[in-house]
Amino acid sequence: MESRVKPSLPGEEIGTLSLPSLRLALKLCYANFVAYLLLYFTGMYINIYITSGVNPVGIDDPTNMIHMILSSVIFVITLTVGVVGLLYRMKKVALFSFGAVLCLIAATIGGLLFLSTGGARGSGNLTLAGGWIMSFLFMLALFLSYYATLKVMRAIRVIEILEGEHA
Amino acid sequence: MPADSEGLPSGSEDKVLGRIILIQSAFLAAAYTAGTWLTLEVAGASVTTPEVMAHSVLSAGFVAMSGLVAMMALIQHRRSLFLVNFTMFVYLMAASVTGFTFLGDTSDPNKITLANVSMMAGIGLGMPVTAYSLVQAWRREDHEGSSLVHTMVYIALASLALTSIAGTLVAGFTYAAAISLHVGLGALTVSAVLGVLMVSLLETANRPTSRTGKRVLLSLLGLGAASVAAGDGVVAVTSGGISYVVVMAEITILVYIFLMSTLAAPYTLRFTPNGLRPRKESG
Repeated sequence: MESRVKPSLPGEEIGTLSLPSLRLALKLCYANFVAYLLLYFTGMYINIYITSGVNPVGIDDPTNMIHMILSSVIFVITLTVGVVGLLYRMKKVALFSFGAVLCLIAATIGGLLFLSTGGARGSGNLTLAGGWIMSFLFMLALFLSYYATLKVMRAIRVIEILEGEHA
Repeated sequence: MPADSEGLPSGSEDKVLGRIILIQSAFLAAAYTAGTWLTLEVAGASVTTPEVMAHSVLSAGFVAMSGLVAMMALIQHRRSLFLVNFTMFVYLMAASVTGFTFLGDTSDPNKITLANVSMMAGIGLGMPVTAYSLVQAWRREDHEGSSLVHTMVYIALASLALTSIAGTLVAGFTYAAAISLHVGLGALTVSAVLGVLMVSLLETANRPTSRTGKRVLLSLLGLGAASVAAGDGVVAVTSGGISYVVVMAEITILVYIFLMSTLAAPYTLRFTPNGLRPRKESG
């Protein structure tokens, strides 16, 4: 296979991934944010219209199932970005993404606690704690994914500028 | 050191992707084992039942790894690998919905049957897909090209998958039709694994290397496991004991493991200070 050496810039973490592949990774990051947005919508719908703070939500509720599937999609995309960062030497992308993955795992445990202990804010302190853990850690995961995305965007920009200079 | 298009040492991408696929296969095997145990041995399942939680975590791992393989294939511009794994990922997501529906009402027989069949179909889809993915991931580094053993393993895994799905249908649909289908497909699976052994033997006779020798041994073990499972199935039908069905179902996964190992035969996994690394054997 043809060997190709990428231009580099001291202090900039551009990794070893090619520009088209980096652009694909960025598209995955954008898809992740869309999934986060839909996750927020479904979560709010469950909170306001289904439970209203009083009624329990079951695991087989259609909105809840969409909510769980969206969180699985977010997990897979975040994990992929983390593996890409690790594999192609973008340390900060890997660090932020794996931090987000850990947050997502803990948040899922919080969500299961919420569902299994009653499924409504009024079901007790344990249910409330589960709900808080879930909400807080999903937001933290979003924040960390945002930073990973910024690092991918910066790498693309730097490579574009350097390749422009070399052309 | 020569570099590939991504600036990585040659073969690094393939090795890493191969390792991820092996983890995916391990999750598949574990999810199947836990799921079979849950279906046959646990009564009154709910979200908080330990067996349900274990099966859920292992299944989620399989789904996540399938998604990861698909996304990595996309980034590495491997179209066929992306398509098969992404299709499986989407299907597995849909199958998980039937699991959630079942957990909402564990007494409805229709929901139980739907969950069992859709999940077993997911496992069935996963068997040939993981085998194909492993061959595709390592082919560039391996320089082996397509081998008849690969094709035979695909056929064996596809028939094993169909046998497992037909076995799941026995509990929920017309007994006589489903059991006939299950037995017929089981016989096809044993024949196909025997085919893998024969092709491996021919390959070894033609070109005796440590790789081909390993293939013979592993396919022989696969044939042994398939035969024991088939024999156990006969005992289950004649004696009617559910414990024989459990043993048969759990041994089935050994056939999958040995066939996957047949594909991965050029490699041995060893622990190094830098983690688990596949080492390519000479020959």
